[in-house]
Amino acid sequence: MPNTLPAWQPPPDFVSVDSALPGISVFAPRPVTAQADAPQTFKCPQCGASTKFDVASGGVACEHCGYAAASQAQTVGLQASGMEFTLETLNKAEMGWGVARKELHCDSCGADLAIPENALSATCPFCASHHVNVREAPAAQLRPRYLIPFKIQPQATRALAQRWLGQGWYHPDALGASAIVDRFTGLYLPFWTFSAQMASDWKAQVGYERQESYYDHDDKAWKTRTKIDWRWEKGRVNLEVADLLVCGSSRISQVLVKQLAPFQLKDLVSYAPEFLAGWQAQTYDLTLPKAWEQGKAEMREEAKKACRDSIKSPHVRNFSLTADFADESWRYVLLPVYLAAYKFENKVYQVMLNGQTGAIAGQKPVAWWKIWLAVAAMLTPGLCLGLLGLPLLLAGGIGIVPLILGLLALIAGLAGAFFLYRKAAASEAI
Amino acid sequence: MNTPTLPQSLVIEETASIWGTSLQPAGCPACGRVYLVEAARIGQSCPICAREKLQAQPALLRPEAPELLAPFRHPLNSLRPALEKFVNEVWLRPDDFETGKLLQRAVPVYWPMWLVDGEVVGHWQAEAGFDYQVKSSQESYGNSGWQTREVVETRIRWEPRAGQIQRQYNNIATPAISDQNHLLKRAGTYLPDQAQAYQPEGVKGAILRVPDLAPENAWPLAQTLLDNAAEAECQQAIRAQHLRNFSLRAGYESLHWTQLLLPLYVTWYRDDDGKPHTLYLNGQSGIIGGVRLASQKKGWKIAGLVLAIAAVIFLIALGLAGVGLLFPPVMILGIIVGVLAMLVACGAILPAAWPWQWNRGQMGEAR
Repeated sequence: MPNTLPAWQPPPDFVSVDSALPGISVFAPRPVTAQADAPQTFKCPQCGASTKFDVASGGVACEHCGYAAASQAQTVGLQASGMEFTLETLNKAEMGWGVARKELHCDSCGADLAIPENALSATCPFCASHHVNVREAPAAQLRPRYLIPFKIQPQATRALAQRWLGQGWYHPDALGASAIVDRFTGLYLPFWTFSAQMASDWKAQVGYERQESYYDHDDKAWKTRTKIDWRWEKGRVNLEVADLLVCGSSRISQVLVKQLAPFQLKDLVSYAPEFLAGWQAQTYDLTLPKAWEQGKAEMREEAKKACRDSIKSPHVRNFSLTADFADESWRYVLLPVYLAAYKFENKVYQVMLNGQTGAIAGQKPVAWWKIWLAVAAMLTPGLCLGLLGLPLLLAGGIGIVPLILGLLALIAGLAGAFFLYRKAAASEAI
Repeated sequence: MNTPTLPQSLVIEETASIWGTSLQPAGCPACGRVYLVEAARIGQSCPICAREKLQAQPALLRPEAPELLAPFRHPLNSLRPALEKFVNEVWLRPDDFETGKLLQRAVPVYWPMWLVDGEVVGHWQAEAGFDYQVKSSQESYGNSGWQTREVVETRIRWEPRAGQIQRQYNNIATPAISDQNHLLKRAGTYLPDQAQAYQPEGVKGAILRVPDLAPENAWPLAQTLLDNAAEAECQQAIRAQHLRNFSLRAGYESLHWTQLLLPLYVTWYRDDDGKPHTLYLNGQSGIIGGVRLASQKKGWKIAGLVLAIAAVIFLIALGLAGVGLLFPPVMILGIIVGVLAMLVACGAILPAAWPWQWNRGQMGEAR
């Protein structure tokens, strides 16, 4: 630019950007740089020891000298801004985390650290310093932007686990007393949250019951029967799904993750590396497009259910619907979870604890003899009544009554036994 | 920013000739337009409004001769076929709206336009809009389960931008007459790059419109046009697809005003009420424009004639009906003829309503 231009200063925080025409300069707001992506090491400013995030003080604290600094991160809750499904982001998201660093140079002691796969944070085995942001995201949008800090203190986890182990009548009696839960590991798990509006237009044949009188020629009498009149109907259901959670890690049991829900997203805070200091954190390995497919599948089932619920009659056939998605948005967040394993009778079982609410989920051994005993107890009344009724019937007496009661009791017993078996089997499964 | 120095206009007395020609100032008392005309034209009808006769009067204009002139590319007679087509498109046209009369009344007129050159120097800010695409989907459920159809939508991301500008703009077409937009709407656009250097012989036999927007009056328009050019270039510099809330604080340097004369034939006709209406024939492109009114009087006449025919047929129908009282089969014929009379009477609506409907559309366009 020549010097003839009037004195002018660009607005604060604007930087010069490329212009397509000579004689016109262009300034734009400074882009949000990848500062949060740069590796950070947490050391105490007072004594130089390694610091970590302390749940009780809600900030970084030093275990050696007592230094504590409260976190400046803002609680954004459900107002946390969502991102759109831009083609650009989706293309980058297809790459996952791209070529991640395999090694990190510890600027505290100079050692070169091997970084576990998918780790976002690491601790130097030589100087115990905590490092955060040890991976680079392929795009700024694909870095974690929000997280829920741990609310459950590590010291409280063991007691919660022991109490949980002691619950339930069909587990071994010794479980609560003899099983030893190993140290819980605090871990930030990657999650995708999805929100969308759905306008669902449905069409179906809906059946309405009506009573009809007819003459039964066999019985020579007038009787009534139920007829169903079918007619085509259509309707529209608008549904808003907000903050549907899909776990971004395929290395964790999805069954247990679902049992840990819900997380209170009103406690979301803006991402700051200090929350991860001294804690483990994972990046996602389920990419955004794949996670969105899962989320969308859940949403459309919700839409289908809402459409079916809007139909007054239970009789529906040839049901079809078209759901238009709009205002879709997503967030990439980190949620707190404690992981642990315990041994019981030389077998290892997994436990997970919601680091925010304290909800617990995991595998528990089952005392199968208790289950079979219970199943037997459920089936016995039906069988006994049947055995009683059969000879009475053959003797020409009133055996038909206990026989019918026995059949009903047997059906109820079978249903109860099936339900109990399913519950016990799920308790052992991952 | 200060108003830049602009070319000054002077009062030219009614008897003075100017711009190397024998033309002298004259004006129309009805429409107020001022022309430079041959002395012989004084006392003739105003070429544009045709309501009053031209009278000699002083003119306020820049004493320097125009720099550029776009010559007539179409002799008047070569426009006859186009004018005939233009006229014949009107059904039930007034008697005065006829090709021969229009050509006879046509007058060659040069009208002025300013071409402004200048450098815009300053700073700007705006919101730049960048297109981006998002992927959405439509899910369908039926007998074959779920099916997904991807939908890609284009949205706009708005971002603030600011910067400095120092750019030269040339030949910014600025009105020199206040009815330029009306005239361009009627006669179509011109190509200023076909203009030649002004020679007094070039305007021989023609009437010249005197600018009623002198540079000092046209400057706010020129400034807006320069700002618009700067805005378009800023958008180009940003590489944005959209721009909004553009604001510019600039100075305008090295301003240069060029007067360009553009060729036009003007003619007129009178409607039913004797009111004159002007038609414009672009001397460069040959485009013809102007309000073409239909004759409502002719419409009424034809409608009356049709109604009279319908009445005669109806009387015949009544006669047949009378005979039908004596000889019933004739009654059917009477009814058929009666219906025919009704249909003919309905046909009278067309010539009665068509001129009204057509004129309504023409006046709407004129506004």
